[in-house]
Amino acid sequence: MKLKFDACSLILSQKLGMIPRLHDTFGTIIITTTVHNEIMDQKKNPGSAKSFKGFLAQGIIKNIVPRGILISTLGQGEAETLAEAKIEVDSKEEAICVTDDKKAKKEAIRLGLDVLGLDSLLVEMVLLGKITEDEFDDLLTALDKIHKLDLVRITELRRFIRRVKKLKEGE
Amino acid sequence: MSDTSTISTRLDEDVLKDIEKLAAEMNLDRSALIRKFILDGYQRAVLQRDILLVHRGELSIEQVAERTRLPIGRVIEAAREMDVEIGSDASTLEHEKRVLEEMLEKKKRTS
Repeated sequence: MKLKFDACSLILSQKLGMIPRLHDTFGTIIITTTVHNEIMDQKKNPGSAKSFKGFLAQGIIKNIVPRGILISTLGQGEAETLAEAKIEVDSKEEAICVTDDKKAKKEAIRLGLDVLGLDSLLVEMVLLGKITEDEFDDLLTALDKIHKLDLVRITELRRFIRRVKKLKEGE
Repeated sequence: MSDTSTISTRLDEDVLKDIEKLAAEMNLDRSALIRKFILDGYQRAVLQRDILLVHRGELSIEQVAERTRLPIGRVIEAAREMDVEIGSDASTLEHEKRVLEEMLEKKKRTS
């Protein structure tokens, strides 16, 4: 499975200090050139460009040149991310877009792509036993401080964790 | 250099005196400081308007960054300062829950 991150979700993951753990759980994080240029720009990201450089050097994040152009009403990096996932899916490969942008997420669904947000990716980590529910709560609190979360969404995600865990216990 | 135009506006004497004092402290002339205020205020107003459009799902975060020439990280920060939610809402949750369940199922099959 290939996770294709847009810049917003990658920046949020970095701020949470979760990039190495996301890599350990889901494998290499794929980004496109425009996303790469955004996160590596020293002027734009003076505090984090260096750590992104390290993640790229270690193969935790992989930058790829986009193979297609998606005519879209999104930003260039978001459009490239979706186009890359579409190419993978069209060639029967598995790919999941990770975006925390409302418009990009809806566009991905319209294109028939699988899409998650960072918060839902953290849910998967709880269900896989990679983080505890307490850690999940702490991460959501930290995430909400930098990127206001939708309360209904978060309540539903917590309910989903409980439901899946209950089902697992019953197996 | 792009063409410029002169505009005029009225300000209270007290405000103008304060601006002149600040300009002197900043080693700027009065016009340069007022020009800076107008440009900064304009950029802030555009950013705030665009963030509300992201909230309504009419623009994406990256589109705002492109339009305002700001880093994506700064757009996220500005939205938080405004206490505006610009991320995902619950409308895509059914889709995401299905994706999560499929991921779990695949993991179960491979382990």
